[in-house]
Amino acid sequence: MAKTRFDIVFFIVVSLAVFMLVYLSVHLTSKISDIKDLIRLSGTIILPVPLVIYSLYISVSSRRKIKKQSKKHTLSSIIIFTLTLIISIALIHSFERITQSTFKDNIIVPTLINSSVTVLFALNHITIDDKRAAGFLCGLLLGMAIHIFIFN
Amino acid sequence: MENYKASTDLTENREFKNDVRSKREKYFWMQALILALLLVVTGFTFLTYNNLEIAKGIKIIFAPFLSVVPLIFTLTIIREWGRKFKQKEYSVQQIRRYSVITVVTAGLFVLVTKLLSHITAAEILIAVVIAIASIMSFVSLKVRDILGISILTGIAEGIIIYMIFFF
Repeated sequence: MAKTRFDIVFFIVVSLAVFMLVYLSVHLTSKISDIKDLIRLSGTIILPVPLVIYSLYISVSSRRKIKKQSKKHTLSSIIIFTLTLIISIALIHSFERITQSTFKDNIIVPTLINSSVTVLFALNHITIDDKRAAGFLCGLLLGMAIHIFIFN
Repeated sequence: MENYKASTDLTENREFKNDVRSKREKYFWMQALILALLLVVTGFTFLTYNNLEIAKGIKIIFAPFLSVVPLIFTLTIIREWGRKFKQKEYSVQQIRRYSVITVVTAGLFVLVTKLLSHITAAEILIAVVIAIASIMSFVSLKVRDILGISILTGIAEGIIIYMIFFF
């Protein structure tokens, strides 16, 4: 039986994601006028959960084999992290500039990205533990957080 | 010494297989629970959002039996048949085939949910929702396999996609 260690990076990233989810949903519930928007908001939060359970169901038996392989990719994961951070901030800025609407007040997109990134990060940590994918997801999440909390 | 090592390997392997099976069962029930909650939420949403009224109170008692009776009938007939949880690993081709099944089921259930939103009577809505719930319980009792969980995932994703993008 494999021991489960307490991982500080996993804890920090997931707590950041949960904090942002709570912030976004509290911010958005003041704008909701009827039941339609509430259903949409809760739907975007719950969308990736069945897919993740499905992929966990498939990948339970092959967990051991893959965990041995990933001990490289430290440098490339850092490069991917910084690139994703910059690109995501630039993309969100240009998106706001083009559509003339703030990213924070949009109901579907930020919560959908946030919940799917959270769940994919947890799935990656549980199953294959690939560092490049973790770098990509962390960069995306941190770019969104910086845009929402600082550039407003 | 080698003999001892081989025996420990064997017991460890068996433990791993049992572990895989129990985990699969856990994930399966989680998926079924999520789907049941989603069905309840969609039923109440359509009931309140479309302002459906109950015309005849007696009809609402008989609406669930329309789909529950065939379910019990099929369950009594095929008592011994059923797919079990497996501990084997799935190949890439199998995974591809079952994800195609999931996507097709999701597309189908987007259409089904669109039909649900056009229903004007409360009794018919309750009957259709309970029909979907009985399909779900049949799958989760008898088809406990990758086929079953792909069908459940397809239904759940179809309902959620309709609720987000088309509602």
